Amino acid sequence: MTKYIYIAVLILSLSGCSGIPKDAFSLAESNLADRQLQSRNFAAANEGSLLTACIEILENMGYKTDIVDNDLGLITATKNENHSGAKAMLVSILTAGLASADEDQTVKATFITSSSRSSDAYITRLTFHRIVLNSHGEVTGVELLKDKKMYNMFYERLSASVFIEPDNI
Amino acid sequence: MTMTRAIAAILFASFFGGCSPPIDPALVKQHQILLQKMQTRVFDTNDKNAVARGIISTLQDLNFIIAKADTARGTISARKFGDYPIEMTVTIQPLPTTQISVHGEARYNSKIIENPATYQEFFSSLQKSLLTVRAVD
Repeated sequence: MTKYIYIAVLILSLSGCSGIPKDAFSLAESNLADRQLQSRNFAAANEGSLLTACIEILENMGYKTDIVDNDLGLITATKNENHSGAKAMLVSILTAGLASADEDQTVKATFITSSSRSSDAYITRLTFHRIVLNSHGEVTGVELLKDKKMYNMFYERLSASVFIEPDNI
Repeated sequence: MTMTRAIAAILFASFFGGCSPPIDPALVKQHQILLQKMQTRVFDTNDKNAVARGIISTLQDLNFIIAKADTARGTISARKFGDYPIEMTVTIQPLPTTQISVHGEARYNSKIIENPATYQEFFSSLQKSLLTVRAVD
């Protein structure tokens, strides 16, 4: 009994050492809306075709693939953007100061497919994160991109590639 | 009396000694067992692939960026950047009982996060993502 009290006290006292905010693992209030923006339902689709088309589209958009895992239906890709001079100033204005003049930006795309439980459909989910790095390569800012046009453009191209009109989730 | 003194000593060591680990090896072992327990859940399924996809989806929900996925080893690593950069490694282990054990380890500043709420929230989100698959413990 005494031993368990020791352990409980230890865990309680040590748990404060992590220093992360309480909501670090909580779902954001916008989670459902974000998921809807990022996801589509492709009826009677072939998973392999969706993954192949996704790679082609991302490569055409200037991304370099990092992970291609057909078993998991997972693709991750990165696009590096170096900003300097006048272009950097414009980026700084457009990103409301998130990226300053001497910073590089990386956009990370993550695409995953999962089979729908209700039908022979596949649900796809795509996320774009912008990672801002300073001249020392340190991460100075990260944001989940929520530009509807960006997601719609990708899914229009994916739809055209696999000849299936997806449904929204 | 002895117990009160021991608790006082542990509290003193914790507050004034920063995050230094406990010295008693038996306590360290017990601590490791409890930590392992809060980092692990067993799911009532043998579909390793569906669990792996559910983990990736959960990590996406929690705004992590997938860094590595190794299907053969059953490990998925992800990072969350920003003011509180967190690294998360999730390991999937099929059990002989047609169940799957999922072990998650979160690190902040290279130190393992030992707050039980962190893992409760992660597994709660994973459970929602897996829908019909039931967590055994």
